[in-house]
Amino acid sequence: MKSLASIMLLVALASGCVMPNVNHSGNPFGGGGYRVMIVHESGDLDDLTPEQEVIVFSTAAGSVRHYCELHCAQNNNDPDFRILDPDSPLDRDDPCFTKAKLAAEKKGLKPPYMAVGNGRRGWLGPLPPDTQAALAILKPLGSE
Amino acid sequence: MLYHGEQIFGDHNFRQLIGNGRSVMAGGEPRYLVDGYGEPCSKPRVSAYGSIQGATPFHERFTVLSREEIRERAIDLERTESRVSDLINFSSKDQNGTSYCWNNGVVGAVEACREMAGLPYVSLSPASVGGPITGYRNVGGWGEDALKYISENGIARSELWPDNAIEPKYMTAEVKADYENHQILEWFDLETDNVLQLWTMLVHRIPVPLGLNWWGHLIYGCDVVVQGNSLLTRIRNSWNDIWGAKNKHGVGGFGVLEESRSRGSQFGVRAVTASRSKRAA
Repeated sequence: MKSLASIMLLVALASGCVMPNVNHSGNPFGGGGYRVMIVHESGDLDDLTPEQEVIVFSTAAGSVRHYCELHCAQNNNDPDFRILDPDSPLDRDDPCFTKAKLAAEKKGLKPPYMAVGNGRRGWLGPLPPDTQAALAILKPLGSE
Repeated sequence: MLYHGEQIFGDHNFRQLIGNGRSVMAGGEPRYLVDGYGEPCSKPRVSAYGSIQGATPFHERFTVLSREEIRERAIDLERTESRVSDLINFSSKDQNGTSYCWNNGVVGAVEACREMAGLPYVSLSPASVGGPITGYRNVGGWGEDALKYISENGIARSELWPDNAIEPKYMTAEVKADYENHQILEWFDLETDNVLQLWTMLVHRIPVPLGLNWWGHLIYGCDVVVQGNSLLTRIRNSWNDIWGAKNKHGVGGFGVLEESRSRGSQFGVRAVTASRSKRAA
């Protein structure tokens, strides 16, 4: 799976995209900050592979959560990083997450998926297969 | 592996928790939770499996894992630092001598679910749940009732309603509007005393409020702990961070129960309202 993700990334780079599924049209998810949202069916225990569970829940150094805590836009000292159920209403949260969810639905994505936006560019697609592949998407957008 | 200084409570030392040694296991009078909001009950209240309003019964969504499967998952969750207790980075609730463990345990589980969802930490008020249920009396009760209230109404922030203020004066228009920011959206009914169902929930990172008749207390389960050949239950209490061990984030309230002490009335809490819960202007 790791090699498949790497091949997909290389194909995307070779085809002229900076990232697979990068949205170049405006400010992905708005808000002017780096935000990450992962949507998965929380009541379905088979929704995630063991490697994807590590993406979503690991708090170890070098994990996706650790990266997001350090790099996501801060709101009252809390990073704008969400792990959400598809049924969670978002009308009480930051509008950027609603925008990301609507973009995912427009794209026909089914959970589990990941949305990353930095106010200029973004990535929207199926949840990567493992932490390494997820960070390969997160880091370029997070460092802009 | 245990946290530094973490204590295991089992048949040999459970009296440390209940104080008077009067328990079913000790041959004394059963220490049942209180029913009827003030009237001691003569038998434990056990909600019939499947009877919790709005709950999905365990068997309709999950397959109970074997002990070996639970052991393997527990070890893996510890290795990847992805247990519920690894994700908790906020202080324990402090019921501070009130009889509201049955609200503190459920509200604590909601706070844990918010943390797992990456939502901003917001301290939530157990008194804003128990007060309206009991008519603002400081009495014992049932986690299922707190669950029902939170799923229908929500919880107010501690900022607006202090955690242990069992007083109706806090039920203002602003507070009523705040309740809906903190509701439970999905919950699962588990069979009473079914430890394998409890552990199956915990190794899937679903916090489980657990009412224990032998303790006369409700706490919430976080993790499965592998200790030699035994499987144990890590809980989080509501007696302030001073009680129990601290996790890697330095927040306390953690202890471990042996299997024989892990049996109780239980349900799993999963999805909660996604709200930024902006601070009051």
